Amino acid sequence: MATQAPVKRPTKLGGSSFWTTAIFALLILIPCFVAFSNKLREFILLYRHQVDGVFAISPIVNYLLASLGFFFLFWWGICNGMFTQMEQPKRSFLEQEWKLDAEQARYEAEEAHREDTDGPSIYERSARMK
Amino acid sequence: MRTEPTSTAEIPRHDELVDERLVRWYLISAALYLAVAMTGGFLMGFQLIRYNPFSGIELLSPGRWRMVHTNGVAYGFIASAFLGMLHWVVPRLTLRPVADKRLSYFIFFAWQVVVLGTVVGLLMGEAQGLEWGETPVWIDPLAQAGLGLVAINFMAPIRHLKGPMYVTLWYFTAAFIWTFLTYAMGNFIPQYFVNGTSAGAVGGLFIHDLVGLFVTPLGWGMMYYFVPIMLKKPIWSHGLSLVGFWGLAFFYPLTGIHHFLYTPIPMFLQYGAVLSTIAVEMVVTTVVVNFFATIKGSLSALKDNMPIRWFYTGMVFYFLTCLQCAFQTTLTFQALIHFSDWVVGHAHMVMYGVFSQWLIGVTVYLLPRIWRTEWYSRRMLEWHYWLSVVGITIMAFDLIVLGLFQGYMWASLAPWSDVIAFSIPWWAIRMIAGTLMFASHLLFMTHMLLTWMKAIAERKAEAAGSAAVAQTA
Amino acid sequence: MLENRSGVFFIAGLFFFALAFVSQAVVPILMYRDQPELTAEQLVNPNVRFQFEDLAKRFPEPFKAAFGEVPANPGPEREEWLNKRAAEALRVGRKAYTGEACWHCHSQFVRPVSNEDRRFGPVSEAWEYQNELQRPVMFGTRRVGPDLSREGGRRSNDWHAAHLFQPNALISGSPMPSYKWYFDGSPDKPNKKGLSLILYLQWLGSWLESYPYYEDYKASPLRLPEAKSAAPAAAPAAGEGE
Ligand code: HEC
Ligand code: HEM
Repeated sequence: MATQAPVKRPTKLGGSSFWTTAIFALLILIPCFVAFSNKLREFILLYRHQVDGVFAISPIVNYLLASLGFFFLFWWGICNGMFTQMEQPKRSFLEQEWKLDAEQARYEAEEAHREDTDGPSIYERSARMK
Repeated sequence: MRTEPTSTAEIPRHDELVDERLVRWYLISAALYLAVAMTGGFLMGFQLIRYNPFSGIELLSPGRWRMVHTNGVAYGFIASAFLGMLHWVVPRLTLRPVADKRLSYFIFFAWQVVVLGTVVGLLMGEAQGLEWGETPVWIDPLAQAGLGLVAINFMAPIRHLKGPMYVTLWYFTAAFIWTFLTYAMGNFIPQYFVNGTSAGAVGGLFIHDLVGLFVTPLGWGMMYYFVPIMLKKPIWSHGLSLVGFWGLAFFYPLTGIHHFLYTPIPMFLQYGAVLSTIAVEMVVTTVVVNFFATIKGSLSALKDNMPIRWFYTGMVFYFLTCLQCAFQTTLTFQALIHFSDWVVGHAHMVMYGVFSQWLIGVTVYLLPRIWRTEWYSRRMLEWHYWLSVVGITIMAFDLIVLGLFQGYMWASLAPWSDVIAFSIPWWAIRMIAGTLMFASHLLFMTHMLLTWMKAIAERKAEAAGSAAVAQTA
Repeated sequence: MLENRSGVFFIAGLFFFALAFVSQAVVPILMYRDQPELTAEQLVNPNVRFQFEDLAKRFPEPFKAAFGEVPANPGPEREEWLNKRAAEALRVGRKAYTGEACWHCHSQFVRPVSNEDRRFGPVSEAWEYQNELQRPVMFGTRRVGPDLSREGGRRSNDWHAAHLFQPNALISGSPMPSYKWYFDGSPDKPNKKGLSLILYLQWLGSWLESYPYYEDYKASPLRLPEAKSAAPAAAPAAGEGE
């Protein structure tokens, strides 16, 4: 998030949510790894034995490359501290939302108060402001 | 739970960030496009039950309107509504306005040109022979440039962020890049670079990725933003949501293989496709679990809070469609259901049951906020909800079951006309369901109009009130 | 960007995305470099030519209006004229086929499953799609009507004209839309697009040895039980068309 984090909270993953995350991660990673190696094997077999293999080869080469791309981006995220304090953004974002709303409400109330009679209302102005 | 603002200077004001007029324009034009698109579905649907009052009129050719239907839904309704939503969410999340407001308006008008050009082109018979990419070839570059500008416009505020990002922004960032690439892949490669079966492979991947890499990330990102706000509490686990994101990134493209199951060499696909689909299934489960754990304890919101109800209905459908996907990727099912109405049922369930429901939920939330009023009538909102949910449930169920029958009849070598005769009653039921959906949408549009008029009246009364105050003073 | 490690990762990530994108185009091109894409001119085979001349005979006036006078004297000039016009017609026909979204109701792909080879004809192979008229490829995703990839030669040109003009006049209860705007008022007066569309339909599958292909249900493994099979096995085939 922006320049925020005014509220420092302990952001350690709690026990239950850590394990849920970990278990789901494993459940996803293992079958995918198996599937991926399987496809790779098939790919090699096909390439060896069939001329029509382009059907298989084109998408698979593609997937390999795209996944590599994601892999590097993932590391980039890690290096940039995207996954430290994992649970913090979900709170700071909400607090920020509330502040935005409160600030806007305050502003509009203020404006409505010192509205002069023939000027456009705050709503009209906020629509026209852009 | 609401915290009072302590110091006000540290945060930019909402109306400096968000261009509400643009959001409003996008949401309203999306609703209009949905009405047009549904008309297209109607024309085609009536043709199928052999009742076509416009038979023989070239510009009302059901085939052409079928393409208006799908493209209107994708580029008119879904894309417009998403853009409106993005103009609200991205600046608020990043606390920075988009790159340039003039650019935003330019994109808005360019997009209207793209959509209207597509509709006109399709009706004139200029379609490009690519499913979901029927946009005539002469519009493709404009659409591509538009998507590029969208990415630039919204990436500008996101780029400046430091530290851990909220999951919504992960999804959105990914969607901007993916959509651009996917569109280019689907519209230019099969047209200019490759042809024949390999182009078919690209086309299959394109349909698949358009749903998975454009609509899905934007949809989920949106849910991660709006649901906590509506429920006034954070998402259950942010870590889990990131697992969901990266899971999608890594494994979604892999399942695209199920579009090739009918190709000359299906054997190689059998093993991997099933497993990677299981993986995606798990990813989906993490996301769904996360949301249902979030609403736990606030279940009454489902009753009182309309947007929440739309959102969670969509999630239930999402889970169902993904379950269906798991079957679809198997060879056994492909043999049976490919080319049948099962696929059409699936498509409606995803596009209407999930993403449209979410977008409608967002519209229901945002429009009154922008107009600074309440919806005109709670009853109308309820009717809108129930009509559309009952409609889509009937339609999806009807078509999916019909697809199975069709598959078996084809395999049994029943005469083609028998299959048609068998399908007609089912198609008729689909039209009834479609009528419910269409009615719900017309009701919604009427409701929008009424609410808008109400907002105007309220503003007038307010102005009069303050004038009176000023006079007495 | 490159000053630290994470920047390298970022660039690498984007690079592989780009590579994935490019490979979509490059891999197939490499794979198929020995199978060049055929042009419409190369696709005009004797079967197509036969149908084209048949169109000229059956619909002389509309044909003349659409393509001009067929040279009277046999010889290379006439051959060339016919081939050229036929190629043109294939292109126009294909444009109508896409523009009208016929491909959203008809596939052009016979799968090796579901008894499709019995119903429609030989299973599709990759080389069949290696030509200009399959750019973008017309596999289709939906079958409201039957597969058309082996349609050529199965019906007469008259049949197609009448069918396109008003499908349910031939097949009672057909949900296929009528395409009256490809005719000048009646089925015996197809306009240029109409003639071209018919030729395009006759072209489909004309490259196969087993052309024209008619359903042959005799060898079906799914024969009806004895009691019911008193009717000749070919009955469904006959019952279907008419
Ligand atoms: C609404 C979906 C639909 C559309 C659009 C459609 N068709 Fe059909 N078509 C059918 C159905 C259903 C049948 C089977 C019944 C019949 O023969 O009329 C059929 C049959 C046919 C047949 C006869 C196949 C045979 O040998 O029995 C041909 C040829 C054909 N269509 C060509 C076309 C062409 C060309 C177009 C586009 C201009 C087109 N169709 C558009 C649904 C459609
Ligand atoms: C008013 C109600 C609707 C009716 C009557 C209707 C009817 C139809 C018909 C007849 C088709 C063609 C099916 C075929 O070729 O057999 C179709 C396709 C499709 N419709 Fe709808 N539709 C409706 C609403 C919607 C909505 C709201 C959406 C999405 C938001 C949608 C998304 C789609 C998609 C994605 C397809 C393509 C399916 C495919 O090619 O597999 N439809 N619809």
